[in-house]
Amino acid sequence: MIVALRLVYGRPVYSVSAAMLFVAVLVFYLWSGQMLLVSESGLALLVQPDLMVASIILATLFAVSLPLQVYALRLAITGVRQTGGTILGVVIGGVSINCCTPVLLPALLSLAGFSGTNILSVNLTVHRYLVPLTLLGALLLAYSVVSTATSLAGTCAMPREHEEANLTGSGLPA
Amino acid sequence: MSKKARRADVVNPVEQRQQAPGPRPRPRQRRTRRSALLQVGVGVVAIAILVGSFVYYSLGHSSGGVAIAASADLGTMTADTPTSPTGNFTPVSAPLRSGQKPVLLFVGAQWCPYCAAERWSIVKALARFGSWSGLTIGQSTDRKGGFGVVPTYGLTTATFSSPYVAYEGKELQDNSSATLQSLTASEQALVDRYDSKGSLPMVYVDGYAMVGAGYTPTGIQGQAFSAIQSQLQRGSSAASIEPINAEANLLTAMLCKADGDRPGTACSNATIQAIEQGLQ
Repeated sequence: MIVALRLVYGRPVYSVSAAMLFVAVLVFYLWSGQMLLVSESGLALLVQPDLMVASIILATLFAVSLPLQVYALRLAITGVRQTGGTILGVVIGGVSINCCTPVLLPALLSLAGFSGTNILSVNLTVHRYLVPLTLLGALLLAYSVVSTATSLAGTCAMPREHEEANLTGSGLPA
Repeated sequence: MSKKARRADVVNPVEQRQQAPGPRPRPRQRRTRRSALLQVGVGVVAIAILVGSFVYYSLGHSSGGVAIAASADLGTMTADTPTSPTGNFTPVSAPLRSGQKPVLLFVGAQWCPYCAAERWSIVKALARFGSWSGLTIGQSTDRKGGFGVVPTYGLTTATFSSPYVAYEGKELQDNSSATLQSLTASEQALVDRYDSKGSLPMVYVDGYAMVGAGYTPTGIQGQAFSAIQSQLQRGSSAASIEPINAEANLLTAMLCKADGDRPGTACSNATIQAIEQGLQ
């Protein structure tokens, strides 16, 4: 796995992309969870330690996962599990961040035609299961990272049997 | 030695490998097996933690603690007025009545800091129309919405009686997010109609609906309940206290308008009359 991470993040374009993704996703989580407020007087940051920690963890995992996915996609060795894990992880993580002062989730549900009571019920449920949902999002993203990195490492490593066969075929006298 | 014997002595490595008993797994295969076992183990532990956390939070854990009774005495009427004619309320068409009495409906949660703020004004306003019993001291949950602990009244077990107006309150979750009360069908209809984002609190006063609180709890967060109550009783004009009084006066004016300006002790006050004029 370390090999795969070095392989991908050794390239500047992926490292820079990961850094930018981290910042973008973190800002998105802070805004959608109403920890980052934009008003006439400027920006305000309402610090909620537990949500802040969750936002940083999820943003980090997503920023690590997506460039890996892109690299693996280019080699056509990624699958539905890894990609789905990334998408689900960031969505579930975002939902959990929205627990307390939701902005995005109610807006989306409202657009989809859900009633106020249903959305209220969803908000209260998400609020109640903040910790498990954050954990689930983080686990999905972590699984996606490990799985993709393992695929990359397996594809790029030279199997030892092949090395031995080459040596035997060319090195030893007949 | 004959050629045949020499050939017999020569060891054919391919034949030797084929005839030999099953070899021990090579180090690479052992590493692969250990790695797979480790992954399975980590996966099982992760799933166990995840399922356990869902079960733990679904069971709900009461906030605990002994309820401390609180007085509804929050001082006399002040001259504070809302910053706009209807404050943060929106005029709506659907009435809300209990028989002939206009209803003040409050939907909130114990952990919610904005709900904690609004309860001060509700208690003070309704005390002008009737009497409270069963009020307790409560507080919002620290850090929710970016605020510290906001002291407030506990209304879950409180009752209000008045010949003029009625009060309906629903606390949907307690401080640890366990379910407390649920909405009736008519209350759900109001939420569906006027609270499309499912936010808290929601306050409905016979013809006016508000999603959110009338003021931000910034000024009262972190204070003791008794300190806020004392300031209200003294008629303090502190910046943190004025919004509570302004919101209470607004609620009073709305109820006076709905019930035909009764009782006179509350509704004939000049400040209330001025606010009521702005509601027309």
